[in-house]
Amino acid sequence: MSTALLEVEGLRVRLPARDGPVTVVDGVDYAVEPAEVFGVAGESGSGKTMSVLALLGLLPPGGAADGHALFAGRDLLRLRRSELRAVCGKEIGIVFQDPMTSLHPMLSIGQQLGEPLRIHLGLSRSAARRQAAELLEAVRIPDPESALRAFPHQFSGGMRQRVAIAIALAGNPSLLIADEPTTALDVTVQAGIIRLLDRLRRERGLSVILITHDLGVMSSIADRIAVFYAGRVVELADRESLVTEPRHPYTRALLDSLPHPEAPADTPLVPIHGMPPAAGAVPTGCAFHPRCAFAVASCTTEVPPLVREGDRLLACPVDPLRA
Amino acid sequence: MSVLELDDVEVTYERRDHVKLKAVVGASLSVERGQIVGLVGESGCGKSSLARAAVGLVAPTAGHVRFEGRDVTALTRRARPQALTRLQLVFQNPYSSLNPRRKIGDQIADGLPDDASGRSGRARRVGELLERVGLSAGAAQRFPSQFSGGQRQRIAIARALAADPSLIVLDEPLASLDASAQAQVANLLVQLSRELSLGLLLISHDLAIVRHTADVVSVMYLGRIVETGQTREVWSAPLHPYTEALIAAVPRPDGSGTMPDALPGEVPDPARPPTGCRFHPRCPYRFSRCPVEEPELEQAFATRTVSCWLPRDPVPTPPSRRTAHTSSTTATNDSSASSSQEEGAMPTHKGGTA
Repeated sequence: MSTALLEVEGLRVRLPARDGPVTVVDGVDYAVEPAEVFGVAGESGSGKTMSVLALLGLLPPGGAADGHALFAGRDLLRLRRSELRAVCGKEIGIVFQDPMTSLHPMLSIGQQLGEPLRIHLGLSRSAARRQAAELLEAVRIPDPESALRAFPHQFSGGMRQRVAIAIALAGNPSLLIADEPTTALDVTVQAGIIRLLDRLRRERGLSVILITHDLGVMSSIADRIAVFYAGRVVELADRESLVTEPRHPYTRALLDSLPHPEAPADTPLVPIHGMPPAAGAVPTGCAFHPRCAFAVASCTTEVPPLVREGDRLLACPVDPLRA
Repeated sequence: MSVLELDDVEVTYERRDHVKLKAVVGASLSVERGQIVGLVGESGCGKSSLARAAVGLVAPTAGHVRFEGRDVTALTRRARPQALTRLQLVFQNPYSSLNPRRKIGDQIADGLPDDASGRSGRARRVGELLERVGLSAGAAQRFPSQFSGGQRQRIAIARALAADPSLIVLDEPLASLDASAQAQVANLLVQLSRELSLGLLLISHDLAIVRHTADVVSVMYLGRIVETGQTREVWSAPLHPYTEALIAAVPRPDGSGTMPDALPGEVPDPARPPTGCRFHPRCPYRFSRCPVEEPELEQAFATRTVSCWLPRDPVPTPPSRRTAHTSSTTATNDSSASSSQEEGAMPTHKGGTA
């Protein structure tokens, strides 16, 4: 039945730490459909970034991943480095949070954009140049020809992020991974990047894995959202039901901590009590139980499985928010 | 009397090519004790320069900064006047504003007045400050790396509180934090302001979070304050089109999939500000007068000020119900706006041809 572009199964990621390896992603399954924006939400340290870097072989030194990640008939976690390199940047593009550090400060935009075009698509120098200008056009960089000759410092943060997206699109990927692509940007610029991603999805049939802690951004563009907590998916549902009828207490709590533009001005922000656990010090049972207002005795001992409930996946047997 | 008063402050930098760049062009605002004033705008609008002038990190090239009735003098190599220690600053990034190699207790103790009694008295005071910001007194013995971003920001706030300030300027204190940590720190700021009768000047690019914290808000664009008012009123019925755009850009976490509105273009180069109203190239409501004459910040309704040529309705009106303004707009002449407006990528990059 599988039409999915990417199917991740039983993904586990371990990273080295001072007292031996710690598990930062602990058994994650999800599938990304073609032309879908798949949102991965969670706080810092929830494993949302590592779960995606693992697919591309980009874990920090000493990191190890197991499980399966089927992408276009191949298991990304079983590919040799050289094979993975041919996929990364060509069939899968990636955009990072900070375009100031992801772009090379000393190379012109044309050089940075031309490289993947020549390597992945085997274009000649002049063809790469033409293609590069088209890509800049596609991400709405004004005056692409002179932009090719410019350097990253000559652009604002938002324009740099557009350039980074153009580079990610160079190999004509079917999947774009965007890790907090708007977190470093002004809200006005963020809105433009959100609209850009949405248009790329519509025009190119691009699938996007959007990683962000901001459920507001997520709610504007994601089709489905997976909420990560302590290395596991605790809830996965389509955007509307996840945001309007969250069922996991953690999803509810994340939403309550956000400023809500339509809410009355005196609506207090409700922060989540406490902090997410550090990797290696994950509580027993449901990892969220020490911060959960609804925890019962069994939550402290049994790890709740992720169970299908209609169109939703939920890892909370107590299910206190069931309508 | 206001604890902090900025009166027509101007901040000018000289670029390497000797071009004078006015980052702040005559901005005035005041903060009372126990009041939180939000200062909102995009990167490059001059809000951080204004913050730096407010605490004396840069010398204003014109205008005055007064703190508790006396002039704030810019920092020199000499010790800062004792009275100015009650004016404190918290920076955006708690990863770089704390020394990674010193215990946080020692860093907080640096800010205590010299007369604090003895080693045990100082340790007790550090413990109190940590508890005040929601950490345990025992945290004093630990290093910054042992804390999360939100906790580090609390530590930076505790350090500012050590000097027993009457006013703290906070430069984007929430920008680098997760939603939950952001809510925690925002609530903490409100609580501190009320309990300690502390004035706070809160600088942020995010009007949504400012709305939940600040009593009064000033919106800044390209070196000028374009609108001020009670936060609640500004949010529900913005008078300046820029304020309206900032609000429309906030993503709505409502599950409807509504896209936030991108504001076309970016803050222009302050060395070459547009003629007339500085916002006119990006303004959807601009008309013939806007590129020609610069509007002054003037009183609008009882408690608001705004600098905009648009005719104002007799009562503040939410933008969704505002129609009169759009009809007074002449068609945009430059074609660059139309195609890219939706995604907000209008201007050329700053460098030109390299």
